[in-house]
Amino acid sequence: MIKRNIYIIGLSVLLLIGITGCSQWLDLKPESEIILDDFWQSQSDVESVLAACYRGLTEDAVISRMIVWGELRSDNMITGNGFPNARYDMQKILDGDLVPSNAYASWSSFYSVINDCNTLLLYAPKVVDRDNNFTLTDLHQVQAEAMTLRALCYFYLVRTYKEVPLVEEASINDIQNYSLPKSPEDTIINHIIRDLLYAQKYAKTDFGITAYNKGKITLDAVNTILADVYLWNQQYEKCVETANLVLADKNLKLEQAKYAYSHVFYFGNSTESIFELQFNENVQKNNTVISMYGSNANPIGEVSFPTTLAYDQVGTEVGAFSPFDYKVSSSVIESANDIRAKDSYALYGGKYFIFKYAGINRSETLTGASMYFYRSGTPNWIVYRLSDLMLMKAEALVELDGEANMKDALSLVNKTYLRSNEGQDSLSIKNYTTKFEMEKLVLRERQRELLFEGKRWFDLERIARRENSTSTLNDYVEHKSSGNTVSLGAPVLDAMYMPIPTSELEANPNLKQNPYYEETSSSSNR
Amino acid sequence: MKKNMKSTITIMSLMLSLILPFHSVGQNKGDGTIIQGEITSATDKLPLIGVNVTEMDVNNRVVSAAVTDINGHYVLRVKSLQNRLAISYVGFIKQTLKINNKKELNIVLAENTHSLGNVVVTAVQKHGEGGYVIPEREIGTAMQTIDFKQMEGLQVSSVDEALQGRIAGLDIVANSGDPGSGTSMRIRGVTSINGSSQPLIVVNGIPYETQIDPNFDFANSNQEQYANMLSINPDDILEITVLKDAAASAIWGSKGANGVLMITTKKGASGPTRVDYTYRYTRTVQPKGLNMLSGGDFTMLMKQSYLNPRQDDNATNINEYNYDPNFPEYENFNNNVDWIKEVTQVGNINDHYLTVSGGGERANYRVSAGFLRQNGTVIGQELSRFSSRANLEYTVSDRIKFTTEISLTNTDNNRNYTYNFNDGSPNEDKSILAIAYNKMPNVGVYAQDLEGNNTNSYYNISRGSSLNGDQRDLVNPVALARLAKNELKTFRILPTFRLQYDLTDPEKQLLRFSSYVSFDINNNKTNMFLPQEVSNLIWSDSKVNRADNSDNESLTIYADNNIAWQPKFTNEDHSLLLYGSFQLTTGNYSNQGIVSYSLPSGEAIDASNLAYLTGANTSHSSYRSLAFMVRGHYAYKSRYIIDGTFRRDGSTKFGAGNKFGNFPGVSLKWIASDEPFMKSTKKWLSTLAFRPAWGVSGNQPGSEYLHFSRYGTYGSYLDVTAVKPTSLQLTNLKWENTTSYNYGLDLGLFDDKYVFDINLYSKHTKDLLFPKVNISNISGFSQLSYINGGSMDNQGWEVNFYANRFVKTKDFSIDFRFNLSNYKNTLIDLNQTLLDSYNSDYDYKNGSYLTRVQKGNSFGSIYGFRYKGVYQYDKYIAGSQENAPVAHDAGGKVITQQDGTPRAMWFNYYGKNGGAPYKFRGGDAIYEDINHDGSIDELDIVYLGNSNPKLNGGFGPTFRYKNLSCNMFFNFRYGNKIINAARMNAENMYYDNNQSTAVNWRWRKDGDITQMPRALHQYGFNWLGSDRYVEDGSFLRFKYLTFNYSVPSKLLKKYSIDKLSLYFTLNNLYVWSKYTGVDPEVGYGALTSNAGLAVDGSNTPRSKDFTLGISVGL
Repeated sequence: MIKRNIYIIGLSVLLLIGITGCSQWLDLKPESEIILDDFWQSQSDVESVLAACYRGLTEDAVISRMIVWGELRSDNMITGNGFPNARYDMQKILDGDLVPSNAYASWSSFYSVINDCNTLLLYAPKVVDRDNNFTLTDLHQVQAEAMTLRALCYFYLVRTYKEVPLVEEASINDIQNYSLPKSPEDTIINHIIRDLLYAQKYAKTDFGITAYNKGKITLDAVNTILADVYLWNQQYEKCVETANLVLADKNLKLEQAKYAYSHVFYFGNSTESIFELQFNENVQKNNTVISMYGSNANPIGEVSFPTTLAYDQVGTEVGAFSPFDYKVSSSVIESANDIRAKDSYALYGGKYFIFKYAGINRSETLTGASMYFYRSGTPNWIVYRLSDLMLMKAEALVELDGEANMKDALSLVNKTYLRSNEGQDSLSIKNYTTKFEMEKLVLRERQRELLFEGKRWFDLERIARRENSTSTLNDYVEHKSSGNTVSLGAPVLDAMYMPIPTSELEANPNLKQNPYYEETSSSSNR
Repeated sequence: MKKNMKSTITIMSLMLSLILPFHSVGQNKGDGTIIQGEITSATDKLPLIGVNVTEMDVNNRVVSAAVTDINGHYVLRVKSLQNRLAISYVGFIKQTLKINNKKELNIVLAENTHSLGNVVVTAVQKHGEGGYVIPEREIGTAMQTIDFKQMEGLQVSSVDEALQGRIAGLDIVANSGDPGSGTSMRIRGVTSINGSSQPLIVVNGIPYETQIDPNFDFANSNQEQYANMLSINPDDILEITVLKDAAASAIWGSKGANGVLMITTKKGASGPTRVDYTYRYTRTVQPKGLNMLSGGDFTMLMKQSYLNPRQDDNATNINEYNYDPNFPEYENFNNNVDWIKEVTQVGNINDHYLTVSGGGERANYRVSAGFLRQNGTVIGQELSRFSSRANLEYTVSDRIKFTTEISLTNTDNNRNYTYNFNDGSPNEDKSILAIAYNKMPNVGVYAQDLEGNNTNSYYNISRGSSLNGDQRDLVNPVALARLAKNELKTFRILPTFRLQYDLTDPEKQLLRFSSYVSFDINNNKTNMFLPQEVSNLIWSDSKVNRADNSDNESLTIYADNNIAWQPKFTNEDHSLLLYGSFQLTTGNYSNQGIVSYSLPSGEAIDASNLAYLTGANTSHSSYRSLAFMVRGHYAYKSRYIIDGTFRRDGSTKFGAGNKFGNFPGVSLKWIASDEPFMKSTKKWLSTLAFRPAWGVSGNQPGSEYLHFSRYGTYGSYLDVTAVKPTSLQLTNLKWENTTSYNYGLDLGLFDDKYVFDINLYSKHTKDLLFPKVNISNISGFSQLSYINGGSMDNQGWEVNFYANRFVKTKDFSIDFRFNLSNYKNTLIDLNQTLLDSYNSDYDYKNGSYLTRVQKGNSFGSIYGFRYKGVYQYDKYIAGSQENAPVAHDAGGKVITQQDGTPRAMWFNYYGKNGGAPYKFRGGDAIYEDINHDGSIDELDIVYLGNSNPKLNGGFGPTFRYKNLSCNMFFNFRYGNKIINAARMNAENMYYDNNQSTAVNWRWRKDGDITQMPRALHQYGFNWLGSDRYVEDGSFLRFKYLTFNYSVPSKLLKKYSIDKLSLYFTLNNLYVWSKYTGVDPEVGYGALTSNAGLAVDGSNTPRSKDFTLGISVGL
């Protein structure tokens, strides 16, 4: 009896010790996720994080910011069918009421991509030792893609905020320092250029699959971004040089006029595309564009093109602000019958709703009326295409000045212009004799060609930075509506940039608000 | 695979340790000898048929048995000839005799003709479970027990409802009067900020929890988490003990910081089989909440509201408000619908409950089954619940006892659909009632033809309508309630197996090994369908014709092995109990969901049907914890008592170095009234005891795997699956730790006729866990899942008083109970980032109150403007139109500008922080310009009060007259301030939502004297956070009145009924309060969302209902 009891007690004690001794028993790894220690073992791990870097750019938060930062603030957009409550902050921007609490002041979606790139750049080199299939060449190509994507993110940030914190370290745990101050603009730009020059060395020219060549970073994409950065940084010669590298690629060519719209914006991955973010009906829809621009289900989008700028409203006076049907002088009219004026937007109930990205194609009846066919799918988002690059180069050439450069610039403008103005005369140098006129011509052509593609505000910013004044920018922006739009432009250069979100200032004590939005000290004694 | 093996082995060895004792006992094989004999009656010498003959060993364990045949003959193969035989037969005296190596035993049984004499049983009331049982009088910690006998006759659908107001220091507040909105429960205030401030629930010694999805937001989960309390049928509960101080709750260590609710269920008792049946019928009526505008009044308001901001006639030209017969939809917008009436109904509850219990010498059992069916007071709500609980106790021998408990609950809850798309639609997260309160009253429920007759389809305002989105996209609540589906099916089963084995003879000393294994299996199925007919979206939209199906299941295994030792001292002045325990918990949780849209409309459809699949997700997680605990109890002369506990907890939730936490507790008790020198006062001072105690308890984060840097899938890009880091590794996450001191006093007067239980306490919580803390987004992440961010103090006191039959005559007696408590929390320290994020700048927006969380202060302080009525005139004319928007100086004189004109009043004149300046006009709200600068801005914000009550408590008498008893209960709160957000939303005249009839008193033209500003559609600053909406929330509620009548047993005897009682309960009879809102009982605000402000957003008061019940025992 006693023996039995001892046996039981002994067993229980053993059981206790057996389990307490095993403090591993309390080490439990997640089942539906992988932990850092077990990751980064093979090439597929690297490829999947690289895919996440691209995937991050297809977030609605990113696409909507590319549109808000690059287009909504410009003269190209006004309210369309009205914003749902969720887009309250877009309405506020259109009202000229931009405050640090505005949702579109948030930069987190871009930093999320930057962190994914940083993480990849930190761990990918370790995989070379762990997986023999992952060669040094593979590593370099992956690095080229990740560095370019990181550079692209910083390029968006630097254009939007001017100064932002430059994060190069991957975020792993809670004891790292996340309270970095802002870096000066040129530090960031130099960092971007450094990354892109590295990528230039290793980027692939051909992935073998069209979708990959357009949807992933190729050498052409690297150079196009670099050209854009040089243009922004007023390094015009380098911009032209780099643009020429892309123009030398014979695989890139402008689509023919009659297919241009549907090939570029409906089917996607066209011959003129350089880098476009890939969306997929089943996996990742381009919801922002569907709701802002429209779709088959709802052709009327949340934003529209200002009636004051549309081709059939103005254009009667010389130097008006509509890019279409533009009177250069009393006898010369630019874009008199431009198909981009019909392809880019459609008139419903007195408003010009966006058709670009929202539609499949437009056809014309015998009487010449347009019939619009809307898409039910989901559009890719074009970040860069050939005509953009051509006009970038044209802009740089104009800034470089000189007769030859002006001629070259005009011939580049004519390439995109004539495609959309079939049967019209090419633009003649005699009508654009001054640098000022050429500058404005390139700006107009960029507006016509790249309408709603997230470029216009940056184009205007470049002008303002060159002129060291926002007066030209304001002239354009204030013409988007007939009402009181004085507050829509930027009273000073600093106001062109977005405020830093309030929440970010709270979470990071080393961060200072951008100058225009700094709070003036309290005023109890005023 | 490897880790699975390990856990399987662990479980198996645990099971083994359970089974083992049987084997070891069952080893003594007998010699298999057959004995036989005949059993006859002593009265008539005739053989007895069916007599039980059992062989018992020294421990009275049955080892073999037989039954006599028709000749009274039995044959039995015995295990040992040294054992005894027991012979028992109904109506005869039981006999036990030694076999003594005999092969034949003939026995004569004597008939049991005597009636039982009086037996006096003396027993000491003891408290505890398993091996750790100490006399109740020796308990030195702060705890309070509620016997559920008190609850008899009350219709409560859940345990928390039954406890409300009954326990000092336990504050339970229903979240709102809307059905199913749950309660929030706090024992001694808030010690944790991380949201899971709800106490731990323990049923029969086993934690009763549900593993919650790691992504689940604790801060807003009162309803969901406490819905699981519903699955314990209140009828099954014997008593509930609330452990309030840390010395008591330290035995639950890492989970006990918020206090512990220990529920004990009823068990079977020896005796003949008893059958009890109870039926209750409850009728619930939703009282009238706010009075809302009629169609005519509403459209009139809207026209003014649109006109006023800019005096623009075009703005008011909205067809839907015009009553223009040329408008094609005219008939659909000329109605007068009381939407609240349309969506409410009289609710009823039918509750059946059947119990069978009984037992004999060796075994007793209790099996119960309940069925409840409830129709909510809002249309479309229906709940049915089947619950069952079986408790079987089998005494193998005097030293081995085996218990099985199985409980099962199956709930089918048809709920209202709630929009959850986060797309900014006006329906977002709103209940049917909330939508009904907002819905414009001039639109019809059903589409109408050109003659104005209802068709049989519901009317949805067209998407192309010129109405503001607030109304245009607001769904038809009747259609939503009737057509959309949101069904939750829950199935939960909890089998528990217990073993108790005395290693020595318990008569000499207690050395008891106990063990249990409990499984908690929980399955939930959610089935939702939103048909296109309830909204104005086209059928192919991803939000309609959409089915959401999700399943989740969890399995938790609890195991505990413990040993208790209680030696018998020769000197009876000493008593000692030592206890050691080892506990293991392991569990897993899995969840899968699938969403598809563009399904055919009509009959609700499963998401797996062919359609657009928008979401499919699965997740798994598992968790483990272990604890080692020792407890000791020592009493000298049963009046000097010391108790000690030490528990070491380990959990998978923390990383290396922080996995284990230590939780000690000590309590002392001195029963002074038992001292010899107190003998003289014993007559009136029957009990006087002091109880100081100290203890540490903890709290852990709500999710797993926080200490890893994790990588998860993230969709795909160009056919390559994307994977990215999903979290930041929390390197130093620790347990949240609460140290508490409790000073208790027990006082009993006149033979404990009047009993006081008084406690003073202070708690200090450090390493407060904060969930979802914002970090700089430049990290690529927006939040840290948890940080240990500060410390906090709580101080409080509570008094509990019970007068036991203090008035007593032969047929009549009165009991009275009363409790009162209060606490105060103080923030000692807080991480600067957290402080900054709670103390954000004033946002210059209507409806928002400035929140401030400050070190050294408690939460819940309300700051805002002072509201001074409405500007009577637009233009200031001295003498005649004084009450106009002009600035006054400190002396009350109008401030004039250089040109001599009075200076206008502005809102945010300096346009600070991006807020737009606004010039006040006639009919606008007047806010006090505290600094007399002519600008209303953040400098005019003042302190308006605190949300925490100064006192809360409850009281009530019980009257008994013969077989009739009457029970009343009141609860109250005193001295707290509430922000009446419901009134704010119903009076702001800012949106297109319907408003309360109070707005009919609004300012309309110059000279109107009123307290209600003019209507301004999305313009102006008429509803800034001000004292206009801050009200005193003190109240006294007559919570219930119950009558219970037991039919005298004399009358019942001839129908062979044992017991018959009838009851009648009235619930929520009356509320005395100055509060103008519908109900002053408002839940707690979470610090994480609004700095602990009490905000009343409910439009509906608590329901008043009555219950009729009958209970029959056979």
